[in-house]
Amino acid sequence: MRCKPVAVSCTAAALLLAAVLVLPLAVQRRQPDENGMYQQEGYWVQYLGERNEKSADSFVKKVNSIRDTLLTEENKVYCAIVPDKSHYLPDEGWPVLDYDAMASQVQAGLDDSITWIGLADHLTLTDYYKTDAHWRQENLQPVVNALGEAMGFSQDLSGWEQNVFEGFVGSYGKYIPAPAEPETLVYLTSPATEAARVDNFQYPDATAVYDVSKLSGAGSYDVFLNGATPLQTIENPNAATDRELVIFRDSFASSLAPLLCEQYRTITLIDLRYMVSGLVPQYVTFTDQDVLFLFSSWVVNESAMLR
Amino acid sequence: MKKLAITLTALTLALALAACGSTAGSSSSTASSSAASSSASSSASSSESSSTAAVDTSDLTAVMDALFNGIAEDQMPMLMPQEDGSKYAPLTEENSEYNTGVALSAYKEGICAEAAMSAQAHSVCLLKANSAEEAAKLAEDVAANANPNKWICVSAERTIVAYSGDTVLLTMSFNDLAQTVLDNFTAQFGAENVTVVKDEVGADMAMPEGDVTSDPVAAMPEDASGAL
Repeated sequence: MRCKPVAVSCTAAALLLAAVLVLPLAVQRRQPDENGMYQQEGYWVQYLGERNEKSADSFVKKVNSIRDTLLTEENKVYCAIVPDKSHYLPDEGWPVLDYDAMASQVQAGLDDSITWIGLADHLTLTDYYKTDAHWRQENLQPVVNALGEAMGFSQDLSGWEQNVFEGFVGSYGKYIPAPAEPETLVYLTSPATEAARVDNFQYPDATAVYDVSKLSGAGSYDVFLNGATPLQTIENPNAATDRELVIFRDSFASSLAPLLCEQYRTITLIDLRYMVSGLVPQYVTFTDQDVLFLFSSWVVNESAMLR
Repeated sequence: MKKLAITLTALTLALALAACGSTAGSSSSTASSSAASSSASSSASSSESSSTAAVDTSDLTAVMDALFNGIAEDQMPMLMPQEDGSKYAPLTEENSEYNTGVALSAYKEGICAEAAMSAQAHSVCLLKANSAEEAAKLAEDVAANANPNKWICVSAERTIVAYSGDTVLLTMSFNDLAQTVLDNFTAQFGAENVTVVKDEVGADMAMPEGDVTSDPVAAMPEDASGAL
């Protein structure tokens, strides 16, 4: 009769073991569509691929190399990586690039003279568009605060004018199966942005910080500094200081840079996806500018695109 | 009788396979866009106008140089010479998948010509397959994996993948420039020797404003150096 309790215990143990093995499968791993797209909590996300450690290592080497060969001892150098919105979504089985691991790897590899600025704690899901990869400019006060704390400035955006465009459908619109519901795009203006003049290498006629003619269709994010260009400089006659800033960047900086117009006399933006780094000295003389390397996790994970 | 039938059938099959596997290849196009038919016809006309290839087609640099024949200097994106003085960037373990969609280990060597300073999507790559027999598979893999949106914020208007012998061409660029590159590739190798495996117009055809093919910088700075 003693066998019965043992049998019950063994059965229970077996069931428990089976549950432990099967339970992780209950959060089924899901696959994005053929474009890498999926939707979660109303946000469209494009899967960036598995974390590529070699790419992140190459990114760090690129940053360190630029620091060593182009910059001076007087340049104050900073680096920050923008998380993808997927970083802020709960695990529902979709594949997500491990931003924390990527950021840790980059931070650990940077030259000691480069100050890491963590951005992850200063953003939330709602700070991103639903139909686009980018962050919302009007929500960047915490990011600006984090940059300011590290770089030595303070910029209050609360008094800036909010200009609202109602019909924004972002770059993911072409992948969305059904017509996407438009969202608002807000761009912030101040006397500094209105007085600023842009020298754009790709589009010499684009001299304004905001190109409102771009506010239609999938290219609306190009309202910020006229979109893709290898090199552009913002001259800010209303800046509070004579400080100068150089940003090695991707498109996320297009909506950030205008928010710094009151803090820097000139802001130079360099996009190494479209400009071979060997040409930079022909166009930019480094002296004592603040230098910020600001890239999205997408670019860090595919850093071969930086030339 | 039965044995004779089997032998004749086998012989017929062998002859048919030998014909299909000929290194001369064919000029059939499997493109999905209407641009394909125009490229095939223009390829034929190009080959008629230059029946003898003056280019050493075993030399990728020479082949690449000839791909840009007939393109006006102000229409050609400015290129960046490499630190060792070579004209075109080598495809490396680091950049191969980004530029071509396939790893360097899949082929012998390759070079890439991209604009040195432009936000307009333009990239021309030449790959040397490990052998002529492997070129078709390599071209198919490139066609399947090369990303005309690799720059993220800009996209190539047109993507063409073709091969001849052991040389594979990938061009992702403006429509007209891509056509010229294909025409020149065909002129070098002969229309009957070129197979186009992909000729696709990008879905995202947002064109930059202004003259999209002119390059703002007329000449390379004299002391320009290679990429860091």
